[in-house]
Amino acid sequence: MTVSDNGTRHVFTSMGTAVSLAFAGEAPAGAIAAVENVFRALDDQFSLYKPQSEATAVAHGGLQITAASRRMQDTYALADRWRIATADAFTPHRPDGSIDLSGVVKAIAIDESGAALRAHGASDWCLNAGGDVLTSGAQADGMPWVVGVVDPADRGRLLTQFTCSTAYPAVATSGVTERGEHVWRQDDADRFVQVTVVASDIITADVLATAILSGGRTALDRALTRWPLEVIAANASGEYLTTPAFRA
Amino acid sequence: MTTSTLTDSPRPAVATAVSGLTADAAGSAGVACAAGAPDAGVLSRLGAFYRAQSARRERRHDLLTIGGWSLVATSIALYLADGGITRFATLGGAVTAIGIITGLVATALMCLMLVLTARVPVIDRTLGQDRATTLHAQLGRGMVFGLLAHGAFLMAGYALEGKTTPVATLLDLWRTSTDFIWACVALLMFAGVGISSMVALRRKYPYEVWMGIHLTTYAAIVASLPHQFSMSGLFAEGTLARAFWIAMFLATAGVMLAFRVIAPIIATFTHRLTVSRVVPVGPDAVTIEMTGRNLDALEARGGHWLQWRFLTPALALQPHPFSLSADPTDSTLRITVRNLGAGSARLAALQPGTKVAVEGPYGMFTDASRTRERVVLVGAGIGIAPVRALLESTRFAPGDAAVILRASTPDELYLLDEVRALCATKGASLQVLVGPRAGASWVPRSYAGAHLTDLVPWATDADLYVCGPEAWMDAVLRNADECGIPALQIHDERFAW
Amino acid sequence: MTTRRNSAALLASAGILATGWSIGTAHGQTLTTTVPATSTTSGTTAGAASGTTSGATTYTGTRQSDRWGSLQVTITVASGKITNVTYTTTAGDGKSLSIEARATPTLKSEVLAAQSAQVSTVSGATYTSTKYLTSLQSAIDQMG
Repeated sequence: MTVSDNGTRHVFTSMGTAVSLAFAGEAPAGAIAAVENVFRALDDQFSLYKPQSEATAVAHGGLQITAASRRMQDTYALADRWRIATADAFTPHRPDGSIDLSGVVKAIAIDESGAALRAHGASDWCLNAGGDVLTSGAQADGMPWVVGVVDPADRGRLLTQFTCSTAYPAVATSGVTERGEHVWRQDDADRFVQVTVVASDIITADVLATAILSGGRTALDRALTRWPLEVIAANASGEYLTTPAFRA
Repeated sequence: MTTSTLTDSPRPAVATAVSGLTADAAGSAGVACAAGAPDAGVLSRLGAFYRAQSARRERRHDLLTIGGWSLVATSIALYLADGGITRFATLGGAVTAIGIITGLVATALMCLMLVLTARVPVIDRTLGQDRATTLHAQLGRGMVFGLLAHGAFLMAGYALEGKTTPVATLLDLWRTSTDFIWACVALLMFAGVGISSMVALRRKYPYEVWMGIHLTTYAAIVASLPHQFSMSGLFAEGTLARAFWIAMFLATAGVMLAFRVIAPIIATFTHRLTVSRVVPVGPDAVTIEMTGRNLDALEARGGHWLQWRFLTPALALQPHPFSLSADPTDSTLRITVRNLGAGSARLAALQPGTKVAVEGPYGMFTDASRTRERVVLVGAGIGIAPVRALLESTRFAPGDAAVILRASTPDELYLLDEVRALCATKGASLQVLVGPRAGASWVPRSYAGAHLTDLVPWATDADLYVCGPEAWMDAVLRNADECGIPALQIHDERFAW
Repeated sequence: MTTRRNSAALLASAGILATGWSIGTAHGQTLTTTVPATSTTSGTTAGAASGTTSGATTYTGTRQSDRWGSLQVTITVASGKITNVTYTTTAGDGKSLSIEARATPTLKSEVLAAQSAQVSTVSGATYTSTKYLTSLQSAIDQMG
């Protein structure tokens, strides 16, 4: 943990990625531990990289989803509702039919961490888990949190930025390069290589970023007609589709 | 006794020829003629009236035809104006555009088809229900072929534009769009309905099968709707096409609801029809008399047919189309029915007091289709029933009407006594032809070689009404054509008798 | 009678088709019921000017439909600059909606640039914990 004039920062590893937690001022006692606990508990239960996890048992068919824990069933139900809402562009199933909830678990962890932070009295913070960001309040200098978006063509650079607000506190990005094709694709005609979605909550932002990356222009148009969003999507030939917030 | 069967007189005042039967009515018919000598004023007035009525009907027919064609043309024109024409610049675009246009035409035809069978009064009074139904079937064939072309051209067009194969395009759409899957299901259902309708004629099917086919049509329409909204752009906001198609769909649905559902319900509750008497009128036929309230409001005339639903457990679900066998009064209606199927057989057992739901009246086998002052009525078997009702209701000067009845055996000359009495009262000639038909001709062997104009020399300048068994009617119409009777003056009822 | 009637119907249909045809070719224009009909500026080949409001001209493009649905763009130009872009689309869940200034094609040079000094965190495709070490986020976290 580093503490400076710019506030407090804490970085830890969970779910195979790095989680950065920044506070505008001092972190309230127990707040950081609460966030770590949220991530650890969800990772233990839902990680497909842990052979003993409940999710592994479900994915391998050893445990029927109907016989799984309440939490597992609720998470599956949540993911499946999103599958319906996105017309299958987002799906909790792998092509082989097995259940994979990792698409929503990280967002749930961020979401629940936000609740835990508020429960500990923290109002001004920014939580970034593997590139998905949830913000609350303002920075130390009173300015709103500004989220940079990585340039898909050059990951060492920023493409654009978004200034968070109460209405739009959550930013999620889905891309094809970092973990390879980690999103199951629907069609090759209009493929995006990176999609950033800003929404009123992190689960919506994360799921729709995945759905648009997977479902292309159709999914993008569909999402924009149903949810209040800001979106920037890049395709393989370096062309962008943007909503006004991302235009100069 | 006057027996002028094959007369060469240009216009016999009254020619009552009853062959093979006693003709005791001839005398009284002669009296009627003598009493009412042709009055030039009445004659020309009636002639002018019917000519004007015919001209009005022709104008309605013109407008309906032009309107129907124009709706189809408009559906294409809106697409072309809305940028569709620019698609013809490339091969793929052109094929796609043809696919879209065939879909639009099929949709427009579907609306017209539904309206044609919605029993809209103006259509019924202009085309008649049987011709409307024939046209419905013709448009149906066009629609099914249009839909098949729609699917084939679009898959080919998309494939050309996307540089892939039609099959790959289809699989791709199938995988990614639920609406497309429904559209395919709808297409298969439409094709199924179309094929089953084309292969066998309506009569060959039991009523329940026919009902099932039509329910499938409605299911197919519903299944085709999602892709019309999401994929076709028919309803894209801010376009004239949207307003056009919304109006088309609402008008079609509204017309069907109004005339197939609401109007019959209102008629049934208003008129409260009840069976009052069931009288046998031959070895296998009965006359069913009904009473009701305010029947004048039905505006039923002799020659009309109605859909009857006798509200008994066994019959309530089956509507029967039967023609009136007498001109209705404000409180009575009458039909005469021959036992043709299981349902008809049960009609003979109807008890007085049975409630009756009614839909109609329909048909152009009435005074409303008259075009001339003179009229020839030809009926065979149970087809005599509507002829008898029309004879009662239609107007003519004595001597200007000829009635020809035909049957294989005297038993099948239903309502002969009533017809004979009406001819005597109104001054119509009556000729009765009994015996097996001479080959493909419509007359019995004893009349072999006789033409309509041999029996009624002035038939070419008269309206000809024909009702009877299908094959026999075809023979009469063939002969009418040979005699040079203009098609406009020929009226046949095929839908129900 | 029938021939006369059918030729009249044919003639009427041909007239309607010709009208649609000529509108489609002459303007490549969309018949729009919502845009005021006071057309002023001459249209381009790609679209047609449909109305003016306070010096701004709106151009409505040809409706483009593909298997996913149809899309139509209306562009508002004032003083030679595009000030607004509106899509009318039927894609998506079946509702046809007018979307005010929704996702539009944008050149990279037109994308809002990031001001590194302001940025407090970075959103990107999920990185592994190893890759984090070389990521921008890591740099920001280390700056404190």
